[in-house]
Amino acid sequence: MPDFEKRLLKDEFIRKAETWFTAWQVSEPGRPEASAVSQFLKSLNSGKAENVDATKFFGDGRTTR
Amino acid sequence: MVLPILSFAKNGPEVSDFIRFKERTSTSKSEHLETAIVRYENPGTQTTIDLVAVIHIGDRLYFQKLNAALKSYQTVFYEAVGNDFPKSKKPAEPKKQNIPFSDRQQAVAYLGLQQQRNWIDYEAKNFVHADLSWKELYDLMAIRNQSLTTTFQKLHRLSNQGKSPGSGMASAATGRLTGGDPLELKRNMARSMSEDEKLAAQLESHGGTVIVTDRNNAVMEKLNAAINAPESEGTPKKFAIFFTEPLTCPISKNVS
Repeated sequence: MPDFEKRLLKDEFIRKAETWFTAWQVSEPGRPEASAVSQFLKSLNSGKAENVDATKFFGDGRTTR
Repeated sequence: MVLPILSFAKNGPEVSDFIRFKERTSTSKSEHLETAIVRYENPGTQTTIDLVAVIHIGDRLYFQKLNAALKSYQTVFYEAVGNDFPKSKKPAEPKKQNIPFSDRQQAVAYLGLQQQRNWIDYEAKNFVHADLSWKELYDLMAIRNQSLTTTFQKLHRLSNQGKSPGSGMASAATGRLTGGDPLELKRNMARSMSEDEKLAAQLESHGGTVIVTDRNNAVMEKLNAAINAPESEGTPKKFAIFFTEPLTCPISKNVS
């Protein structure tokens, strides 16, 4: 992310190259599981922004960003 | 709003993108979301550092390629709030799903994608945990008078102010859903994620946050210690910082 880059450039690092990786193709068929997505969206829409239990959300007690 | 990072870009070298969505063109029918590895070198200290971006969900092949790329570094400093992943002698293989079927898992299944944490080999010998523990995170948040809730709320507000097309998964639930078409949802999420990098810069514009600034401090402390280690003085060094993009990716159901 830019914050890391900013720190490195400040420490006299020089940006040299970049390589891109495809994370996902839109053209690949997904697996339409209507009930699953419906439940997912419903829970997102009905959530309250209080008492966030981050460890519960992230499942195993660890998370990246 | 004056953004430090964007100001820096204006007055100094252009800031790199680490995630982008390649739209369909007249010559290519392929549409895909991409993340970057960007390389930086410091000839003075003979140090090469790669910033390796990853997103939480992607194709299996994507994570397999990243695993292969990450083997080439002396040390991979990885972000993950919590404790270190235990080292294992076994090669990387998909982890068993031993947790309840979460919202994210449902979304991942629907989109036909895989989860990062099931495929990235965090137990690799060259992986070093470089992040806050949950206690450190919450302690620092108390000092800054922040919380995960307020941070995500702020992200959501920024997203809704039109400064970014959306906020990853949250955007899917707030008006971008397109009739249950997984490809359209996938496309919209990819577009949103590619724009959400800007949100992090906006989020940091008032003195920083624990979830970005303080966590990045933790990474840089470990990195600088490795660069300046007496035993490696005078020898070439090659490190990676492995971090997740975009910031908004893990926004939970609890964000309204």
